[in-house]
Amino acid sequence: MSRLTLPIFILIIVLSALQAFAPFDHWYSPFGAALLVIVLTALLQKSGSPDEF
Amino acid sequence: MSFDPVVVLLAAGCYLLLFFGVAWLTEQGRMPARLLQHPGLYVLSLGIIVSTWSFYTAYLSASSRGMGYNAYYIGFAGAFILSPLLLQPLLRITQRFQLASLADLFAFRFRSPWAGTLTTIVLLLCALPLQALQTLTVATSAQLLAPALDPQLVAFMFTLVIVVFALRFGTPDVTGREPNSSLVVSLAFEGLLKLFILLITGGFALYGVFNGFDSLDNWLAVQPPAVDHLEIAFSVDSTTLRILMFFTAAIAMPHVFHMIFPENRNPRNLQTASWALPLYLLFASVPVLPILWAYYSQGQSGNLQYAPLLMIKAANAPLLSLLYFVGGLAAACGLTIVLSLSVANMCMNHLLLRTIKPPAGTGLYAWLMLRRRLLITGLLICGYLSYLLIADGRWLQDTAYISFSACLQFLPGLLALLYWPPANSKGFLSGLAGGFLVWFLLGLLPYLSLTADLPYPLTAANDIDWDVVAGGSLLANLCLLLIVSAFTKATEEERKAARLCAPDTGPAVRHVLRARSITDFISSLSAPMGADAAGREVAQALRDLHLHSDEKRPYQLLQLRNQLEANLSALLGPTLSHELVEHYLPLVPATSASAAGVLNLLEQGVESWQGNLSGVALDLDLLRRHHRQVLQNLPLGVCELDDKGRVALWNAAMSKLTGLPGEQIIGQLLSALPRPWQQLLQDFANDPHVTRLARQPLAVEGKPRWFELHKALLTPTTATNRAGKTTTSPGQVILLEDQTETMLMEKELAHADRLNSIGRLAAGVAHEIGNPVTGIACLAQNLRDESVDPELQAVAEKMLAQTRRIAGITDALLRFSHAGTLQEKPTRLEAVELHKVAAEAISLFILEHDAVPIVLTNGCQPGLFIKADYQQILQVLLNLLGNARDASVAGGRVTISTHGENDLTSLHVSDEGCGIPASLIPRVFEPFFTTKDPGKGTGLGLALVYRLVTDLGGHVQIHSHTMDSGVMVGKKGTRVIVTFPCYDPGTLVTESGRQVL
Repeated sequence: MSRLTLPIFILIIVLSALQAFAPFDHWYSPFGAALLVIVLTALLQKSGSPDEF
Repeated sequence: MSFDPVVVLLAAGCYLLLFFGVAWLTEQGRMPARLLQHPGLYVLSLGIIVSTWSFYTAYLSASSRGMGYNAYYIGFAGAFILSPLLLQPLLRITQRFQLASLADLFAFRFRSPWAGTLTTIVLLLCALPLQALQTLTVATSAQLLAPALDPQLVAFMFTLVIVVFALRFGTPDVTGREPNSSLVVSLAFEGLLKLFILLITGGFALYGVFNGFDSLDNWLAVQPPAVDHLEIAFSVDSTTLRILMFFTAAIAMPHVFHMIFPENRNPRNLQTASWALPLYLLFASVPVLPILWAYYSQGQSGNLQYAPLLMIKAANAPLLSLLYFVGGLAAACGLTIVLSLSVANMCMNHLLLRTIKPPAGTGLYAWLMLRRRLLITGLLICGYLSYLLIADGRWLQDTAYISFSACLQFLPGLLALLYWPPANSKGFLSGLAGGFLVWFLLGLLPYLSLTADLPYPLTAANDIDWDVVAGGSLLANLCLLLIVSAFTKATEEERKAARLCAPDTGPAVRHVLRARSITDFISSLSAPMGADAAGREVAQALRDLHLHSDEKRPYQLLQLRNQLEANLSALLGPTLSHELVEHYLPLVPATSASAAGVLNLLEQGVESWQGNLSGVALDLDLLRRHHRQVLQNLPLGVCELDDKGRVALWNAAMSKLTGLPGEQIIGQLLSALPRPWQQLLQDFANDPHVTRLARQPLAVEGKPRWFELHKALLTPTTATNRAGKTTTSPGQVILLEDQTETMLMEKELAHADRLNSIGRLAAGVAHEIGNPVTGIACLAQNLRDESVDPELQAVAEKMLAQTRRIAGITDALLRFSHAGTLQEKPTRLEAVELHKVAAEAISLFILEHDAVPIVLTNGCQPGLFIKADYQQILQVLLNLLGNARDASVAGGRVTISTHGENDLTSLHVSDEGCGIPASLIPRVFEPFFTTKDPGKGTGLGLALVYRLVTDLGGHVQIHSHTMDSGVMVGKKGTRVIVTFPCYDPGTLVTESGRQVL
């Protein structure tokens, strides 16, 4: 497992939770957070086999 | 702004023409292969998720739930982001066992045809409202653009087009073995178009209606409820349950399942989709709010599901109106086509084939294809009829929720399938039936009463609480699954299937096949399928596994059985294919767990978990790989035999030594090995008293080789865990070592030792001969000097010449007796002209009057020199001529010739005699080896030639042709070729630096 895998995975969960439940400043800020989650997922996929979750 | 009906129909026609055109071009092979294999194509084809929900229903949802409309996108995207947890394990199972639908998957896992049937019924009930919804939105949106259009006519035309496309491009191969590229490419095209239209429309709302972000922000600032509403809705709403509902739909909805699994031919595509599809969905979801706010800003409020079309119409953008309508049409087309294909497949496998037995023989495929097409058409007609039920459009959102909440019923089953092996068919069926009942009573029944406008609707408030429906049915389902599975026992078949779907906890029960050959396979399957179809399917499975039709190894036959079941599953569904294979190709429990084939099966199973192991299992796998690597790379040949005498292990060195590849040999009986290995290994393995065989000679490809063999018996070992004990049965391991090189070196050493002994003997003989010869030479010299008779003088001179020759021979014998090279024992090196020395050899040779008369020819090229001792070369020639004469018949021709090539000069002595047998050629240079009659040859001639020539830095070759089994091979006779380095007389310098010539 890549050393990046676990931190990224945890970050995705945290960001997803924040995105779902935290209030936001602007109408498009949740979409920005979603984009970040997607970028992290892509990084996760590139950093190691998905089987290693 | 309204359109003429013709314009709207023309726009729809143009799009459909393009859609059909893309599919046709792909079918014709006009699409580049690189494009077809690109993961982006797969991701875009998954854009089927962006259905009429995104184009229309999302606006209704956003108006009431604010940000909660994103539950749809978050649910679907979440399933892909977390694909390693659900989608990727499911992809492995569906691809390995050729499972084409969710019903196939449950029927396979729970080994129950009822699991497949109930799943099909529930999904059919999911599919029809969803299909009706697509038809409804197409018909209504067309009518919004062109009020003169009859929506029912549009709906009918839409259904007709879908039927044509599904029948033309949706069923290219009844076996489902080949990828349906036409469908994937056309859906990818559609996915791209939909995203483009959504983004264009969003951009239009932002810049065409609001004049950019600032303008929108200003508008939002004076309209706080619009923003607050979004936030509050997202926080307090039961969005989580809806996210779960759409998360499940990403796997359970038949059309999404069809595109994720059966149409995905490369598992890596799913890895790309795990981030690319959420990105696609993000882009598709962002325009919803600006479009909705643009609609509000125009002062509109009714008919919210069609807000985008109404907003564009109000903004007076006719081209964009048509484009948006085409986008909605594209979304509806893709979903309806794939939905009908996948549901028809399920109905075929789990409803039709359970009630009607397909015919055996050649008609099987045509029969299946016809039924499948009839089912597709029937389903699309049912979808149209369902549309008529909801044609007034009042229950658009409820119609969508009825489908998605039904899908949620599969979440417990899916999780149990992968992560809870104790789950059994009774628990699954109870859970699904219980959840379905709650959904039916709380959801479907009130929905039907509302849509049918019953005078006494089953829900008082004319509104169904879908959160209660979804939550209640899910809870009932989950509880029943857990309780019933916990209190009932799974069958052996279910446990086996659970092991195939989930990580193993105990050793699997091993089986072997009753069928022993491919012929047994075909004859067994001929009863239910007909000989032609059985032969075709067996041949396909053999091709898939790269096996030959004469395969008899048990492990490979087991693999063939599994492949056949997987292939038939794609054709007939997993239930029927499993029943067929179980009944006609039965398994019997293996008597020992260490059977060669079973061990390989076990190893293959462990291999399939690669990358999916952790903790102790990963450590054990690393240890296994390390040991396997050590065995494979051992420089000794290793062969393991099981208790039946079958080969269980055949390492790389064994393959190299025998020339037999491991993949062909593993699983074979030793008696099936080719000669000479079969005899050597079988005799050694079968002899219980011998554990070592030293220097076993073996002719391998006509060449002699020697091998040393060792053997050790493998005693049974027992492994124990919570699941029970597993014992391996005895076997043996054989080591094979190639000793050929050592043997040859030892032989050479012995030969050299023998030559040394001979040399010492020769030295003694030479010394003894030397003294009398010196006396004869003195007498001959006296005779020559004292006689006046010229004839006597000539005779004396010849006597002297012969004594010099004898002296030369004794010198040669002395040299022969000494080891060392020319450099160590310098002789009188001089430029020797080969023509001259050959002439002298001939003139001396013909003096022997008693010998067989032969014709001697000096064919040497004058002026060709070598650096040598003249007497030694003369000696070489005389010896060779002597041998040639002895081999020739009277009048035979013997020729001395020379050849120059590159830096070498060779002297050829050729005869037309009887030749030397090939088997004797390696020995002719041995001292005292002769084939001549006793007393006629000493056997020193060629040995001396060899020693003299090699001392001079040359080498000797013999080419001989003799009668072999009465058949002449090549030209008769022998040719001795003596090769020396070339010499230029001008360069010869002695050790003292003085030029000799």
